[in-house]
Amino acid sequence: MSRRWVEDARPWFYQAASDARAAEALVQRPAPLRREDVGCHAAAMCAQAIEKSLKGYVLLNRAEPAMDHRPDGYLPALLRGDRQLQYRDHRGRLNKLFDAPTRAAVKALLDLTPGGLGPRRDLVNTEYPWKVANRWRLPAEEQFAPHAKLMAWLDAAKRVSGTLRSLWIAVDRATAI
Amino acid sequence: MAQPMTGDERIRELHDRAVTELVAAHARRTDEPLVLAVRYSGRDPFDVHLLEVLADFPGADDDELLATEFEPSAQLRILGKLHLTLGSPSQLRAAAGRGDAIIADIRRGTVVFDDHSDEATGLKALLEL
Repeated sequence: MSRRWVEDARPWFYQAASDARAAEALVQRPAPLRREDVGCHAAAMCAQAIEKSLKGYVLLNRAEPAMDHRPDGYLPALLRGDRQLQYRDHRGRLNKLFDAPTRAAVKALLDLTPGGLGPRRDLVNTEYPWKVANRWRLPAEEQFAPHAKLMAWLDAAKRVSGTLRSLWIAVDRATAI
Repeated sequence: MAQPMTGDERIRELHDRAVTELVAAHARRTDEPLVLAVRYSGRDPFDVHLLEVLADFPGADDDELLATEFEPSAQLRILGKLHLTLGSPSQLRAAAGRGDAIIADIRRGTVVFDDHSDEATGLKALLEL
């Protein structure tokens, strides 16, 4: 079996793990962050951890993911075990990971990624000011989510990045002789 | 004159060599370093079953061990499938604490690698290996 896809996927999983660690640090509000800084930056890092993990997993399955912000579009086929899923024994693990609350967290986070809902300038997002009714609003002043929801997003980001990377590690170990 | 090997002996030799090469390759890895490897038996004699405990393996401490399987390939020269089970030291302890079904098989297995750390020694004691 070609190692190309396994090697191509590696940096996506390790950067995703770094993003998840950054999100975990941000929710603890290290100095000099202000309270209002936490939501947008932590959510952005959670979204990045999920986006990169999903792209890495698509690469592991020997396909080039679209370089947009919606790799969750690949999930239905992977969860159904369509031919896009090269590792059939992963299906059970994937379906357990992407339960309804986790899928909802993934959607919410990717919806908040700039461009995640298309090239609009009037949508709430985690990075850029947006305009509503002729008034600019900015991520650092937005109440993105109550603390409990932010922690649920962090939990989803850690589980998605950890589980998908663990599946990659198994393939890597089985093929790297 | 040496007796020719039986079919079972040939399979055993082939699988022993594959496991030795696989574990030796993994022992050289520095990302998620190998702490302990245990070869154990399953239902199908043509399959190879291997548990590897890795430092820094992702997931929560109480996550289930990750069970995966792989068909033979040019790199993996065995007759049946490779059943590769992975986990962190904490995940293995949690599986033993819960009495997960796989633990009984692992307890009957053979240690094929340990890194001589206190962690590996503790896990071997836990598994009575």
